[in-house]
Amino acid sequence: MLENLHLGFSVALSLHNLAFAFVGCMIGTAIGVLPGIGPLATVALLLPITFGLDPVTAMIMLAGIYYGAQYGGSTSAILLNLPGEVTAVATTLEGHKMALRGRAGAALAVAALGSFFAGTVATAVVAASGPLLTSVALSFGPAEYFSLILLGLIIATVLAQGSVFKSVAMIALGVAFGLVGTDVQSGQLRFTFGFPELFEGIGFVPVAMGIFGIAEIVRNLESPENRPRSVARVGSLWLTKDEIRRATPSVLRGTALGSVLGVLPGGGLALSTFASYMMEQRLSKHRREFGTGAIEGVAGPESANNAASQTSFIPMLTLGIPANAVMALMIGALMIQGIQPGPRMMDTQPELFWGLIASMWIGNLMLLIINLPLIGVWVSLLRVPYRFLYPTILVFCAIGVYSVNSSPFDVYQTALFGLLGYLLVKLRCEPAPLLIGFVLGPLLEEYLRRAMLVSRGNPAVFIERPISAVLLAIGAIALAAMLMPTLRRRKTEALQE
Amino acid sequence: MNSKLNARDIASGVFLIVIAALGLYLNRDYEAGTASRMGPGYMPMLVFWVLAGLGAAVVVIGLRNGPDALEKWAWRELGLILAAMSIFGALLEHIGLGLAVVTLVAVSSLADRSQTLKGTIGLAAVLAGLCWMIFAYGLNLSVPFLPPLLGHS
Repeated sequence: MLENLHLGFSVALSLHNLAFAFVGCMIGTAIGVLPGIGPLATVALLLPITFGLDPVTAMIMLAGIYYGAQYGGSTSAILLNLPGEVTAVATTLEGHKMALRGRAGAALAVAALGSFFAGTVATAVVAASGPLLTSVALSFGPAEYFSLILLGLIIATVLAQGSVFKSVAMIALGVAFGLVGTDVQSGQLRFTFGFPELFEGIGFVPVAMGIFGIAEIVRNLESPENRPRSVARVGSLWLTKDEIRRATPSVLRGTALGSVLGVLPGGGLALSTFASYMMEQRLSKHRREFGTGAIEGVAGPESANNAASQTSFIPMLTLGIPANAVMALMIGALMIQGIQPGPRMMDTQPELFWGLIASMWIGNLMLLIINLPLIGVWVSLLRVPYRFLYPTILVFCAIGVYSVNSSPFDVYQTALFGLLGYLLVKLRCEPAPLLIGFVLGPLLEEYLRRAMLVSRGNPAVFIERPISAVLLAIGAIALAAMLMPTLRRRKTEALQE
Repeated sequence: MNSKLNARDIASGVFLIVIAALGLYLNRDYEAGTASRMGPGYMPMLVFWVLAGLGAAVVVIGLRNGPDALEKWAWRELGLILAAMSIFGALLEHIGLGLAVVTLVAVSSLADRSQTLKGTIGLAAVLAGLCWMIFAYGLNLSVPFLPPLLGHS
């Protein structure tokens, strides 16, 4: 493993990659800090700028963007009381209260330090467990893969908010969009309506950018209460001795919780932050301070969030299955680069695999170094009025989409998916599972066809092979559990808390 | 009116069923094949039937778990943003990046009533300049910056 990590660091520490990791962290933070734009939207919007790079550098830069966006989100959560995403909600609860008491600097510092520690531990977890899981995954045949993808899709709905049927339907809708284009095995064109631009399938960038970027802008425009009001003063960044003593155990607990829960497909990120918040609330000696700015309530969830965002790379790197929508974006980016993520990636692309892991840690270190000193820059970004921000975002979005294929058609598609995204929001259908279905759909079809070809059309193959059967059983249990009313109620409560 | 109707869920379900019906209709042209040798139409058939079934389930549940009214749409904002994108796509290759960016900013700025004419003009100028620097000068985007009739590229 040390040898591999050495390879990883030698890749990640090249001046070229280091520079792109740095730029990624910077832009990611700059966009992620903007109110109303969560990590998912940030990664979706910035995806095209990485396409000109080689795969290793592109992934390193994307990872940097992702971490930067996470951290930028915490900044606006603390200073503005505006969570960019569900995962930042826990941070607003205590972090903004701390800001109101004049301790915004301490909240930001503890978020950065806690995240760095959590990131370091979680990166080690990824490095250690990657090869292990990969060796298991290499024994998989088409039947196992089909069951695994199906399980991934089912679990992607577990923590989606709202109705189970609706989230499963969103996945099916995503899979349906994935059908468009040339059928790989027969060469038949499907659902292209005669547009040559659709022969290669619906573009991944227009889907992601339209549903998460454009729809988000319209939503922010229609509800002015989502816009920033007053930015809290940052104050001193230094933690007092008492604050350090109180935050340390929370960081440790949050790290452990996040590392484990992050691996879960679906909503591991959101789950880990809420679980950590609730755990801190119960275990803290300063229980009464919760709700008025308890530092434990920032340290725990922030560490959990960052640990989980590292370990959510595990299913993607080892199995090619995204644990959440951001990972689906990463897989999409790899596919555009011509790389099929999966267990073979570690052998065929060791520089990519280990370089990415090493750069995770470097990215975390960079965030610590750039974010705290540059906090003044981020704060001034927070003060830019939305009426200047959104046309700027649109311009870069439009040019970005166009530049992927030099195709105006992609720009129209983005607008169309923006409409779909807005429709889904209005109908309270969670769009994240759609993206996961869209990415995994073509794989699902391929493995289904292969497995059925091998078994001569006998569907029993999926339950006769033990690993496949176990995976399907887990999926069935998860689905059944979600349909049980008591559990569902408890889930709603947990997500609301 | 039944007070338990969940209009949002029913609309979602109907939307899903319409998509599924459309998909199944289009899928007639593609050969389904057999389970052991699936044709191009097999997977779509499965997917769209599942989608139809889920849509129906959402409708049925929506009959009882309400009341939940449909939300109002921000048609003006939505229309302007989508129009701004589409116009940009349509004009880009004909009028060059600079003017396309200006158009995009002008149209999309209408969506926010607090924006002033001065603000729009300033923003358009700044962004056009920025795009020239990044995309025309820096990254060499395949589209000319100036209108093709004026520029020599």
